[in-house]
Amino acid sequence: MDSLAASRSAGSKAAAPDWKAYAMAPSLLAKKMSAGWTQLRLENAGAVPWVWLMTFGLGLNPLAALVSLVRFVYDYLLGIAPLNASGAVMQPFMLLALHLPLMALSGGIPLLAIGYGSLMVFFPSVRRRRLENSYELRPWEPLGPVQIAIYAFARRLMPDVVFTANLKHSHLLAFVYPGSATEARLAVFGGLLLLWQRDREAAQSVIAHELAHFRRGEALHLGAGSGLETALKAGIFSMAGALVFWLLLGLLNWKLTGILLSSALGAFGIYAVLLAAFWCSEFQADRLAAEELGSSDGLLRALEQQQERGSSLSRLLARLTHPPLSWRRAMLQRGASHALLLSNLIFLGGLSLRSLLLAFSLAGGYFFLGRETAQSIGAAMPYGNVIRDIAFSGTGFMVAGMGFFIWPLLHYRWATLWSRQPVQTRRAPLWPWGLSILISTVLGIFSMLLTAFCYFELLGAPSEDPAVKAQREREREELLRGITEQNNRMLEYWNSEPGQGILNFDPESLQAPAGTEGEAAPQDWNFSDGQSGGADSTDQSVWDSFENLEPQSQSGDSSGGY
Amino acid sequence: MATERELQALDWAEDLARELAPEELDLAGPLLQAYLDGSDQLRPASPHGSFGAGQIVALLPFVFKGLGASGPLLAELLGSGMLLKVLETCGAALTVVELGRQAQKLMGGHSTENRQLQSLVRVAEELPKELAASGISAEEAERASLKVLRLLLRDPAGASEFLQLLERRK
Repeated sequence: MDSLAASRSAGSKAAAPDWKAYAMAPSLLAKKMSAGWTQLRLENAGAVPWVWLMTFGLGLNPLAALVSLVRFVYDYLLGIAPLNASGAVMQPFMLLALHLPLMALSGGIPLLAIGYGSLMVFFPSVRRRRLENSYELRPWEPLGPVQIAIYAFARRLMPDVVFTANLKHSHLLAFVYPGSATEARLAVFGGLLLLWQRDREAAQSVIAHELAHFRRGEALHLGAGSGLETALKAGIFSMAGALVFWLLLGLLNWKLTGILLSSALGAFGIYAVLLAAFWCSEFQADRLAAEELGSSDGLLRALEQQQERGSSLSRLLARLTHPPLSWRRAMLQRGASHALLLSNLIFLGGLSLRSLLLAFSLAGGYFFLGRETAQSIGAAMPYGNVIRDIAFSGTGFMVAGMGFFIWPLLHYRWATLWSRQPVQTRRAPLWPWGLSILISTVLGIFSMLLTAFCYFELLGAPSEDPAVKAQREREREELLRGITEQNNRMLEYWNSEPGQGILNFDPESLQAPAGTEGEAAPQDWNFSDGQSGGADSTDQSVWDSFENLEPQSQSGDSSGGY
Repeated sequence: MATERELQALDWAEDLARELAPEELDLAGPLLQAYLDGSDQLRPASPHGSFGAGQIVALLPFVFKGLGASGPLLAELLGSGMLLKVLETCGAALTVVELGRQAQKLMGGHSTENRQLQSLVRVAEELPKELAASGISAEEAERASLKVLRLLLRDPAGASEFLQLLERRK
């Protein structure tokens, strides 16, 4: 594009980050407000490489799932499973029957895939070997004018790039992949050679786009054979599988299906953020390629001829990692600042979608269980958990806001680190960053308010009668004391019987904690047919039990809420 | 250093490029080398969302694959002079399928000739299929296949060696 060419020729020079301008930002802002906002400029940093953040954020998920699984088994073996919130919804036998397989379907598989994807970032050689085998890539020795020209062009962008090739695959052009954590490899295919002959600028744009992924430090996470991309796809497919399973389950119990679906939506939100991070990376690689060439015309032509191809499934899979072509074209046709702002907004959009899904998930209990039951569950949740969840719903936005704030300062060093040569930068306006911080703050607050609304209005935790609340607090304290005593007794047991495993521990041997004698055990539930609940009443089918269960905490005279 | 045989193969690849896909002329050597070094797989699944070549697909690798697949039959046809005979008889044929049809009409004579004509019919069916896999239309593939056969007839002995190389590649 002309604007890109002009801005590049006008301001392209190696420049360190303008620390002074940034440090002086508050005073400069005050001075420049009247003179003109655009005078305050920082270097053009491009969007934050969110995929790095996602790797660490998502990488912790499987660990968290594992911890919660271990904790669940631990709690169950001790007979205190109903003391947690999920135990209030389902009795222990139901948890065993449903929770574990469903968790494997809806959460376990994608979480494992995400764990694998995050891990692969740290083992790029595994990915390299797999790609080089499947595409039969060999070291490339350029012969002839076309190949030598391609080689020289790529080397100019990234001097130490390593080339591999398989020229007989002419329906492919090129892709970048990591040889090691710091080594960029460019796979060259026959299609690139033909494209170079027909439209050199388009071919250069493709190379520049691919290398831009590495120069932004994202090739470890993105592209062919990327573990995170595999994780995203695995998540989608396992979710689709779980959906079918739950819909079939709905024939038996639609409420259960509703609850499972709504809880799955909450878990699914993380994929919206991952998808947004992928899309942002593609936008930025396009932008960097266009800036490198001084024009986006070639890239636009390359995108034009790419077109949407393949089956609808392959197009869907392509959309998971790459934005629609029309969006990419639109972003290229905008100015750098607007494109940057839009890119930031897309990431914030992913976070917003996640928050909305989380809110739907919380509201699911209300819609599918009914207000009274949902409120009893809400009431059963420890107040600390509610506060934690509300804060957590705004965490993504807070992190995004911090990213928008610090990235313009970090960008130069980051880009130099991955390019391993001085990076050409140019001054760019600050306003997209300021606006992004403002929007992420507003969205973060809105997200927390939405979560709070779901808890407090739909589940109704704090909107109770003070007397009932005081009674519940007393019950909760008693139960917590009971748990503490149980734990102490368990420790005593372990200390007194060294070498005995937890599986030999008999929870029945524990005495009821003080203050709860004679009261219904937490796992006891009344059934509408008059039978008493608990493990003794398992002569009914699991599904009937779930359909008819009513928590004792409705009347406020029992500890069943926990 | 390239052997004499490899240099001749390169000449064949360039001749095929000149005849069928002139813009692949500069790439004929590298494409032949890549084909000889790798497997039969010419169109592996492309990474989802990656840049694709669109309509631009090199024809030569598909020609090499088609010739490699029909190598023994073609070598026999070239060696026996049957291909030359049929092409002279059916000079008006514009596509290899027409040639195959006319060859079928000639069947019924000597048993050896009959077998060779059957081989020719098989080549006329198989070769265009391989070429069409590149994405060109069926009619274009049939026309291109006939061009390939005519080209091979320029030097039947050299063509047979070239076919053996394609057939016996790693």
